[in-house]
Amino acid sequence: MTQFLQHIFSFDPNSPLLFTQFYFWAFFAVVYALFALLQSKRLLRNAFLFFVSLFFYYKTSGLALLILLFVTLSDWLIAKRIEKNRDRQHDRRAKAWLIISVVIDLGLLAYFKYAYFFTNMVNDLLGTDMQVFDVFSFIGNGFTDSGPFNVDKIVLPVGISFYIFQVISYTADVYQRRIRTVGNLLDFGFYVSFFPQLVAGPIVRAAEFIPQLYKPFHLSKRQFGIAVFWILNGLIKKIVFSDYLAVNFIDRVFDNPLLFSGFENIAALFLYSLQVYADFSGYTDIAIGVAMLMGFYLPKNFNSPYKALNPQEFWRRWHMSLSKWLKTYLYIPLGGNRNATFGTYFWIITIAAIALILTGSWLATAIIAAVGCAVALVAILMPQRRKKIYANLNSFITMLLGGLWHGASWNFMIWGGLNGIGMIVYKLWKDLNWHWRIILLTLITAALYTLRHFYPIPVANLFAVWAGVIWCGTLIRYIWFIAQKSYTIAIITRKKYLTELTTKLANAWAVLQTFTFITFTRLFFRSGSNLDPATANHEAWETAKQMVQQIGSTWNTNIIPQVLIQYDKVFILFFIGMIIHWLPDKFKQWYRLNFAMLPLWLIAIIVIITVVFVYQFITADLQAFIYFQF
Amino acid sequence: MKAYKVAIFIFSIIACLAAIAALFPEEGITAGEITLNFPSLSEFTSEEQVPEQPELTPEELLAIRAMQMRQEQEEGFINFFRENEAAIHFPADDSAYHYLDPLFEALDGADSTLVRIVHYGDSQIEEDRISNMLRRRLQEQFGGQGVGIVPLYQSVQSQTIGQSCSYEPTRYSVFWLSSFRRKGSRRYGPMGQLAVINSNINLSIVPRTKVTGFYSAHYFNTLTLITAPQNTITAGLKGKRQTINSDGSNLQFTEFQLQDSTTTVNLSLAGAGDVYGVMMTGKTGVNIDNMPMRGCSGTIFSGIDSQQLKAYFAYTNTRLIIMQFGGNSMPYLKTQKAIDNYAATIGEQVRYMQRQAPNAQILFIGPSDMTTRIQGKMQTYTWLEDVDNALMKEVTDAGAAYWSLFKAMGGKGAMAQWVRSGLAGSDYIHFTRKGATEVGNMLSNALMTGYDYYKWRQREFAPIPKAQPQVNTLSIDSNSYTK
Repeated sequence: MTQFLQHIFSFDPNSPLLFTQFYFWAFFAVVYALFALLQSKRLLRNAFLFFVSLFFYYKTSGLALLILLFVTLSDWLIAKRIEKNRDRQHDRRAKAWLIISVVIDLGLLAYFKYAYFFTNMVNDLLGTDMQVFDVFSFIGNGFTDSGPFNVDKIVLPVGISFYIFQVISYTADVYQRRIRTVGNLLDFGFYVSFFPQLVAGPIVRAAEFIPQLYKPFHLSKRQFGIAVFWILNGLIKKIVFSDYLAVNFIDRVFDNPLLFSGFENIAALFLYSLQVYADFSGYTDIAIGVAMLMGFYLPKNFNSPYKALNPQEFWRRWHMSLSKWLKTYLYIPLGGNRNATFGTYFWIITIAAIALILTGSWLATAIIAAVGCAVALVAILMPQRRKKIYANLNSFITMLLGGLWHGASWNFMIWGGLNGIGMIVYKLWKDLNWHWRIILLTLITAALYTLRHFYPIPVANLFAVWAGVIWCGTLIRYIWFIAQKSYTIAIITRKKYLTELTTKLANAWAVLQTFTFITFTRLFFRSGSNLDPATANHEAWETAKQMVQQIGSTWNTNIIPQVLIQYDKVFILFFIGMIIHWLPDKFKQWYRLNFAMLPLWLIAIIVIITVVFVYQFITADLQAFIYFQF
Repeated sequence: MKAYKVAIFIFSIIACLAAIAALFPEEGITAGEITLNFPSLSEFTSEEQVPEQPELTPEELLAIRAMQMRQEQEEGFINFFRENEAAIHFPADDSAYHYLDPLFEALDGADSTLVRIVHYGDSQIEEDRISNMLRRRLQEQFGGQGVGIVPLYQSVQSQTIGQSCSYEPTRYSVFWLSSFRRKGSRRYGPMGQLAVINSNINLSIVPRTKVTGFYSAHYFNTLTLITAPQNTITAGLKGKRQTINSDGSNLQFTEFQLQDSTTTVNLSLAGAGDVYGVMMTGKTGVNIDNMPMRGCSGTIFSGIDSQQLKAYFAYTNTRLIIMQFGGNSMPYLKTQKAIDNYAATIGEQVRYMQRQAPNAQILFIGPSDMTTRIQGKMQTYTWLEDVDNALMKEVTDAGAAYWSLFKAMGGKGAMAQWVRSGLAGSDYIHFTRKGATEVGNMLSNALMTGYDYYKWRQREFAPIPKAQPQVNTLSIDSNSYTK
């Protein structure tokens, strides 16, 4: 019995409480039973959920709980100071408190998440060989004789990136007078640590969630059905479309790209796009469902992101809670689409300087300096374009820092940077007329093919083929554009069904292009994930390079059918996943609502069938290892 | 909806699932090719059954292995050879552990001549993995330069040198898909693969140092082109061109002498003929060939022309042949009979290689631990240990040495741990570079323990009788070009 209790209540790093495990649901059932007893007393309910959340976090992260408690307390106290000073019109003092709070929060995040990144950077810059040293473990060891903590390693506390952003949003919202402070520490602690969204989001902004703290529990039958739907949807996404594809195909390729052919590498990239979406959105779907069962509403975090017509729209559909956070607390304070602030220049100069020093290349310096001068010149000579330049700079910085939020290695910076570039290129493209578009694209494509001719390196091959595909699509659209100028054709094409058809085709083309672009950026995202932070920079870069090498080298097309046949389950799942993803929103809403309206006994049967179904994927035999490339 | 109703709903679902778990047969429900599984109640209530695996982490295990080796040396080499799971198993008829002495003697003489070790293996050794660490260790101790032989066209780049060809030539291989076989010919050369050229082709070789750092393998002063005797090939290097002789011998070796500090070279070939590889070496010291054979289970050697193998081993003074196979057969070996047949085939291959390289010792390395999902848990292939034992018996009975990588890395369930520690990839089969480095280190340690024993005996006891190398009677043409 003692052992059983110890197993339940102690921290075991190998068995965290995950949504995909039975133990979580047993935990949730017990929590919900107690919640049902307490829900009518608001403060008691919130306090109970706060302590349950702390227990949940302790089971997941052990002593990192202390960090969560610390930021909860510090931001709660500081926000009170800010509000007090704001009420007395002491704006400077309020601002100073805000800065103190942000420095504490970001300092902790930097320490636990970016210590290795900064150490590597300093070592690269100065040629030193410094190692990280965990001060907290050192202090902890001081209290005991046995020295239980390892000082040579800094362990990243689970979910720290999420809850730090939440507390920052709280103090910032109090400073901006969007909300009043939360009087009771238990209420505030509940907001920060609410367990469904604690470790993987969505990032709940204070202004959106705090009003819910004061509302009584209410759950309609339809909401209940929707909540169950989200949970099942999330479980299927996570276990069927994410874990199964990852284990049976994607991880193998990313772990050792050279063992696989170009086709397998590119397939792994596209499959990874589905996997990462299914994984992340699946987890947040479950979080939304679980929270909804308790009467709390978390913001929608994904809106079929691969339906996006362009990179800008993608970021309005992908990890929406982060995008909104970055927009509110980074992009707009930087100046947004109106002007540039000190922050804009500071970040641009800092990032460029670090990148230049790290590359150690005069050519890179010259290129960046030339681009910088050209942008500055346009801004000086063409005041009407200045706003757009500011907006682009601010969104680029936001994307870069947003990239770094995802992980502490250069790969994530590159990933963020590529997304920033994608957005800027799209904005510039949008402003061009069709003649300029085709001229520019023809020149770029020709340049890439020339480069490829003289330097047949894989990356040149890859870009040349990609540019060629985009050029073909653009040419067809250009011809269509020109043809419509002809009176006869214009009369014909004005027919409604034809207009609808061409619009659909154009949209499908835009969706595919955006999907391909986002998939390419994933090259840098995935290869930087799940790595030992001490070697992440080097390994991630090597993996990305090896994949480009394989994808950009000559393909043996004979093996493609064999690959498809041998990995039939994997590819069938991928296509099913993408088809579901691309189903019209209205249709999805229709079946979601219809599910919610079903009688309870039928919902229960569907739940049971779904659990049995997903369990088959957990226990499915692994795909045998097959080589296709010689 | 009232909260208590939701709670009842949740508990009802859990009760239903518990009922299903209680009633569901443990072996699952099979309908046609599909088997439905569901966990039993005991899986929830009792402690989780962890698949068999070592208690120690790979890091602890590796550290202990190294320490054990040192201690065992002090306590007595013999105990080490007999008991340590990371030790090399000597041939069945070699109870005194003298089998590798001819190799060690040759290594001691490597200051005046070239000594070759050939490392054949499956994809575990691709990218020069494992071989690289062994080469580094031996070249540090006994001298030597260069990476040994590489194919003209390298589909998987090595981590030690980079190769690029102006185009991909037609290639044939004895170990790859049947469509890559060469009809009516067994002349695949020493690597089991060849490139056929019929127009000008340029090969450039550059050092790759990001992973390994610069070391002796990146430098070479002799470049040897290995071709078939019947050809019209001319080779150009540093602006000078010369015709390759064709004198009817089994392999044509064409040497180019270069500066000692050479790391980069551009070789241009014209004409037509079969190219078996390009070799980069120093003039003395140890040379280690890395010869990966993707997808191969080690049963193809007798498919290579014996005269060509003989010519290569004799010309290069090969004193040790390492054959590392077994992993690719694992998924298909599911009965004791199939295992015995496979082991017997490997025994034949070992004997075949012994006949082709009478001066060389043979060390067979068995499969690593490989994990697959059995009833939802990652576990070692059911038959893996039996395969390892059967291979060890056949190989040692055939008069060769055997190294059990499976046991050395920790035995059953070790792979799952190596994956968690980043030492093996998520396919639960291949080592990562880091893991391969550890395996290379462990192999080098096992080999050098034998060497220490040899030296110890040399010091302490009577001199070792010298092995009598056979006289090389092969006709070998050597075009020499000194820059």
